[in-house]
Amino acid sequence: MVRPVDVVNRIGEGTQRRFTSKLHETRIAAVLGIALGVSFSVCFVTGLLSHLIQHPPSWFAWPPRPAGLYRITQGLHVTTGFMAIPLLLAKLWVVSPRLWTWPPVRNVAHAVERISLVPLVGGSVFMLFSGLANVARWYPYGFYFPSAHFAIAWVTIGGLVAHIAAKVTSTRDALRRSPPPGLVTASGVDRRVFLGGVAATTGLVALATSGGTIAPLSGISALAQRVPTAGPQGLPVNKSAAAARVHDIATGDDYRLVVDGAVTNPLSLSLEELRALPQSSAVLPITCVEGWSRGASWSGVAVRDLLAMAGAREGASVRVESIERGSRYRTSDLNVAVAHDRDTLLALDINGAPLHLDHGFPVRLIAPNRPGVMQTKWVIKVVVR
Amino acid sequence: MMDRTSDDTEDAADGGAIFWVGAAVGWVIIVVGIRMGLHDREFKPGLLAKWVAGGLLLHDLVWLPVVAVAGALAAVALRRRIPLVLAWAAATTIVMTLIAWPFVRGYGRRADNPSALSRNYAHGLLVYIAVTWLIGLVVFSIGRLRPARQES
Repeated sequence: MVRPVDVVNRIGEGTQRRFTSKLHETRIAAVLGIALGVSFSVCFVTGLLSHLIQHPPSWFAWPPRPAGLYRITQGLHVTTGFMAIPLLLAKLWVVSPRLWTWPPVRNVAHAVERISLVPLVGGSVFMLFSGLANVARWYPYGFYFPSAHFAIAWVTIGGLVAHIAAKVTSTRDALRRSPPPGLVTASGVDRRVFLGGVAATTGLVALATSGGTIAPLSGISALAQRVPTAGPQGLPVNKSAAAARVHDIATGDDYRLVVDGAVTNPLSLSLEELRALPQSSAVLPITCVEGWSRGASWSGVAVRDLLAMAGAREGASVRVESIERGSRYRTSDLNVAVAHDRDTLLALDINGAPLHLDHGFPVRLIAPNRPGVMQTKWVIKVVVR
Repeated sequence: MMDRTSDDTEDAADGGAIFWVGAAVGWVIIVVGIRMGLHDREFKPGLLAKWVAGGLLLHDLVWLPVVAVAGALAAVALRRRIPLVLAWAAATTIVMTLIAWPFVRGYGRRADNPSALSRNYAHGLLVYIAVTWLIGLVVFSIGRLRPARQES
């Protein structure tokens, strides 16, 4: 009589036997694993940094200098995320026979190793898909992207740590030693061609997608999410005035900017009064969390000058509020260093012309080294704290 | 007897100290991530679990079998091993198409924001696919010519 377990065993062994390519080998898996580990680590660190900047705990104060640092870290985050897609697909293909490893569990360590792959593989696929969808401004899911992307990043990195610990010995051995006789492995030429091919695909993906971050590549980055010069006044827009529903208040004659809170001389200034104040200029980038960035020349009233006028104390921090209602990003906080930086402006002009409504007319915040979602548009109030 | 691959024999976790410490640290981080998510008002654990598990199942039960069957059918159809460089061009075409798909379809386009997704992504994708196959065919042709030159 045939026992069910024997049938299952035969299916398992038979499935494994069908993977005949010599490229399903440990040395190739090791090289791809290292590349993937590096790209995931870069993504995790830069993503964690972006999260801390946007949701700073009490011990964390992101400095305003160097002014273009966030532009680099977030560009790196999105570019390495794109580059990880071909690396992950190649790695999963190379190790695919192990999915049918038979018997599926050999001992306790093997069981822990395999169960740790669930958060790693599930998390990796989710992170790269949700990141790609976010850059394409596509939200087919019902959850809030930043919360989900952040939490699953930890789950994925946890899985990666467990996986590295499981594979560190075999990876080291695979890269150092020749395989024992009798093992089927790829020839050196095949291995180099395969890994060269993965590198070439990864390079093509980087070339096709990084033009939003690296402006000189914009002309050939046919899949980049933005053309850096496309948009009103030669600058892309992430949220339009129509989407924010601010048109009537922003363009109304009775607009006034209020400065209050911990001040001795609260202010209420019309647009004309703001223009009559001493004006400062700065060349700063708008850097979107989606990876694109674009520099522009901004001019307006320096926040530190406004704080001095209002009689704020020297170590004051600031909350800037927008006309926009019902948005998670209608306010943004400036820590002490940012609020008092010479280039932190309540901008009225961009490249010598009044702000377009989509860029935050009549007044927007622009400060160095900061995500675009924290460069609040359509500013109506400054609360000193 | 079936051939042994290096993956069958050398690659199992050895259960040593590094493995157990790494597994413990890794699972602590995993739990921290889950707890962090559960403390977020906007985190929807049930829905998110479906998406993460869906990604895993999609890979294991759909993507991988499709790739395996497609590779096997191509090998049978060509009655020989597919040259690596042409397999590379095919794989790169698939990868580029997967990445470009949400841009080509323009799911995120909004009428009130023409500066977002402002490129002709279908055209861009076709250019990249054409360049990929051109590279593949050039490298393949060079590879075919080399032995002939040596013989002459």
